[in-house]
Amino acid sequence: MTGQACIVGIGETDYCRRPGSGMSQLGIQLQASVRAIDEAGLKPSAIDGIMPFPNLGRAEEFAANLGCENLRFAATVGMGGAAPVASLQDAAAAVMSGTASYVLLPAGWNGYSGSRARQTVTDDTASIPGGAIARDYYLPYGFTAPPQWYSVIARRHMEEFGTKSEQLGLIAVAMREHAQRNPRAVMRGRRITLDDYMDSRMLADPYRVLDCCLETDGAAAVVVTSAERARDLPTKPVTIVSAARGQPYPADEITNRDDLFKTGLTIAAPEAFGKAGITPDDVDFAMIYDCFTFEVLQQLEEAGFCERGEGGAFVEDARIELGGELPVNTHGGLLAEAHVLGMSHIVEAVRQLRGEAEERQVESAETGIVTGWGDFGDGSIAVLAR
Amino acid sequence: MADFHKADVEKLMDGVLAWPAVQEMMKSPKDIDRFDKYVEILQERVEWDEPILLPLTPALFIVAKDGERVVKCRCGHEFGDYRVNWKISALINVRDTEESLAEVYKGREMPDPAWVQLREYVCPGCGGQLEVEVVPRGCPPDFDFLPDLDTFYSEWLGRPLPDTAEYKDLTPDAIGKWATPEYTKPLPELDGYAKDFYGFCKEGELRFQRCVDCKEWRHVPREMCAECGSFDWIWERSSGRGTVFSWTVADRALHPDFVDDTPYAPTVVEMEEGVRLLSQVVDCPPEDLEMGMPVEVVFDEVTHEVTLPKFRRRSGGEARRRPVSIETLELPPTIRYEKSDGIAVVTIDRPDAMNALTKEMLAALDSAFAHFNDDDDSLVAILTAVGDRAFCTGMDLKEAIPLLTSGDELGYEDHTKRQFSEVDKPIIAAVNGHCIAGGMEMLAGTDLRVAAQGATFGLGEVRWGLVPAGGSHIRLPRQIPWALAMELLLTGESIDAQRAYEIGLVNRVVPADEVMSTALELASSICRNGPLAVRTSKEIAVRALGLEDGFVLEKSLAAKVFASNDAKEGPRAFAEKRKPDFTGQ
Repeated sequence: MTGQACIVGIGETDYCRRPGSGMSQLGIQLQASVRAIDEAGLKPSAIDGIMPFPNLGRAEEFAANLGCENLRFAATVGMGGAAPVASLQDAAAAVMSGTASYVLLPAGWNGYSGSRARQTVTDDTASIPGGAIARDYYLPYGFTAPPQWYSVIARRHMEEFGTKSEQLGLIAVAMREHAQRNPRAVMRGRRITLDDYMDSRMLADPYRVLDCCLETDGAAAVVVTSAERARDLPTKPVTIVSAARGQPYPADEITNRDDLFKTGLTIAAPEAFGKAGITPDDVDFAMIYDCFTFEVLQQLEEAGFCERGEGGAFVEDARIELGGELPVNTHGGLLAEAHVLGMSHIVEAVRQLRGEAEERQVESAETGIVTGWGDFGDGSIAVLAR
Repeated sequence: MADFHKADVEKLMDGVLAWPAVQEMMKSPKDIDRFDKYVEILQERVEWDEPILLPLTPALFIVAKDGERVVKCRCGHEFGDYRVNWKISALINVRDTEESLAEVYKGREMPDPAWVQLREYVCPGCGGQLEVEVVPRGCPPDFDFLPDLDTFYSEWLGRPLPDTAEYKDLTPDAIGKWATPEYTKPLPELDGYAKDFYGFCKEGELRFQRCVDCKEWRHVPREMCAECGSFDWIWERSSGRGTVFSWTVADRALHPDFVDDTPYAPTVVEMEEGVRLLSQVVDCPPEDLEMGMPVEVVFDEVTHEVTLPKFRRRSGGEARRRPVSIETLELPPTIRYEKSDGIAVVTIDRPDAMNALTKEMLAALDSAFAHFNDDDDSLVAILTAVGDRAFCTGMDLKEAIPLLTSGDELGYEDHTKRQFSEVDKPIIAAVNGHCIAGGMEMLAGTDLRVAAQGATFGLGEVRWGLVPAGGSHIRLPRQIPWALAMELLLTGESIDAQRAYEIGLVNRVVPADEVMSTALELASSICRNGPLAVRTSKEIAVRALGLEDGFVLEKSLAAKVFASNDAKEGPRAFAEKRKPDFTGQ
């Protein structure tokens, strides 16, 4: 079934912090959805599959608002930030098997003006699979938010492989550089240097403020259908060549792992590259879920762009910047564009493969990957091609 | 309502009012006017200006001062918030010897200093005696009177307190020492396995699940063993020791309840058993944390329901205890240490206070025995005391009172240990006189015992609503038959030396002047044996008893008794020479 499902529509709202979106969480997601459906040249009634992001809405309410009167397929993948890319895999399977014809993938929130991203779990411990464990064994010690959870892994990586803060800083700087070429990026006009990074305040040592994703309002959505149906639609289809997902072990608890660096992507990446019949060397760009700088470095390693432990050296020499060997997050990502839960990474990959990325365009981009990272290290990856 | 002249009130206060007038005043109901005149006179007689809200004693008053309500002596000395027992910061003169009590009690009325002591509370400002109480050893200072000022003013005087406008409750910190502060941070939900895990922590035990079949340890708690598939598991006691595996430093709180804690360091600790636990290292600033740093568990009782396991630094490797060298063994004159021919003699030398132990003496005993344990020249220790009235009567209350009432722990910080827990070589007790309360608890930590014919042994704590928490509950039933151990613990009655010999509590009963020579004979016969064999023999026998769990249990259950009303009523009744009215509360 590989190679026969496509992304045919993308849509985004404005991304902002102050003063906030002025709309509800469902409202901004509907706005992005309408734009994606519209771009695909479809009417909402054609959408018969919806895969909402976990805890951010139900398929039923999306359908009722949009007017999807023929809904057949509704599902949510419980993998946090890894959900949108994992949903691509399920949506592709659905349109290939005939479970649905056109599947909508929305994601978005008021991560700035509503409940802050940092409080997601503490506000609702049931919002992630490991929530009850976090409630009973993490929160009482002030181990309350993702930057704190992941930074204990980052510290081990630094200890075992000699990874340096400066190398994490290069990732932050690269994302900001990319944002300068993206009119939607919240951090456009706010370039940073490595010195700025090193001077920025510690938040969850070794994470500085500039290691962390933004908290923003905004939503994005994509529409998936079969290659066959895509031929009749106005946009240039982007093929979902392969996709895969995986979980760390145990996935609901972050401290008791025999291999602390084995994440969901460690399992998923070989599968996705294998199914696509390519290697990381064949990839023109990578959209890496960048909740924090170290997670970019770690996913580059686990996806196979370099050996484990060599991520620090890999990100040096502007290798991940536009014009480098492997441009990463040409839109600026969660660190510099906006935190759209990974959906904007898919949107950017589609733009690159369509050749619509304007001043950020990766020359002759034919194949790219998108990853997702969620909860305590769930991972997903899709290989996309034009 | 009778209206009395201020001059008459003043005469009454000074004891010079004519008897008929006194009678008239006594017959009439309490009235506001008389109270006001009384306070007015008191106010005129002191040299300070803070308005008196209520007299407490002829010398002490609750006054309004800068928005607070404090206890003030007529001399001007201030004791602090009126809700805190002023006695805590008074000078205390304790009479607990026959000589000092005889200055107060003449003849037959004198109480037995083995059980009771007289305390005079003295103002640090003027030296005036403010209060006297006679209570059993170990009884905290009685908090005589905590008035309900608001109700007194609003319902009896029919007017608000004069300082209502400016009164600010500025002393929650002071009060906080006596009460559990409100805890606002997130807590685990005590259901499912978290209830068990934290339940053990509350008892001072860190336990993890361990598979019965493949012996694999696991954390966090699970339904089954992921290694072998077994559903059979137990809560196994952890060594409590581990090393720092990783950490993060929260320089900025990402949860509002932790704002005041920054910077703090959620830390992953890898336990000796292999499981890892997210916690904190309490005695270590974040910048001092190191990978692999050895730590050991401590328990932080954050609320009545929840105790969180946390960690503190420990010395790594084989260094089980700090060695004490003879050069650094500095002892007070009340603890003597001598050694010759392989025998160390440790002597408690405070006969005029019934050989009661101060905190300094307790610490000195610990270092003396730590030295003995590490000193290759000595194989056996004899523990004895000067005088024939008492071997040891327990803690010295002059010191114990402030400690007890400030919530300070008298026992060992490590709840799995008691006196002599870490001494691997034999200890022989040579007992003359009273061996009661803490003295008896100390005896239970020795190995061989020689008693003088006049010696007595007992644990009287329960008679006054208290329990002996120095290890007696654990050690005694393992040393003498159950029924007899329980008789000592539950009746609180003492036994004589002959009875102690019959039930196997002591090895020999001899005339008083032969106690030491008999102990030396026993010590010499041990010294003739192989030192490694002797030492190991004792270590096996003691460690095989596995007393640690019991000690922790004793500590935690005893704490409930010490906090009870009965623990206050018992000593109070004793002081008032009446039968205690226990409620079991």
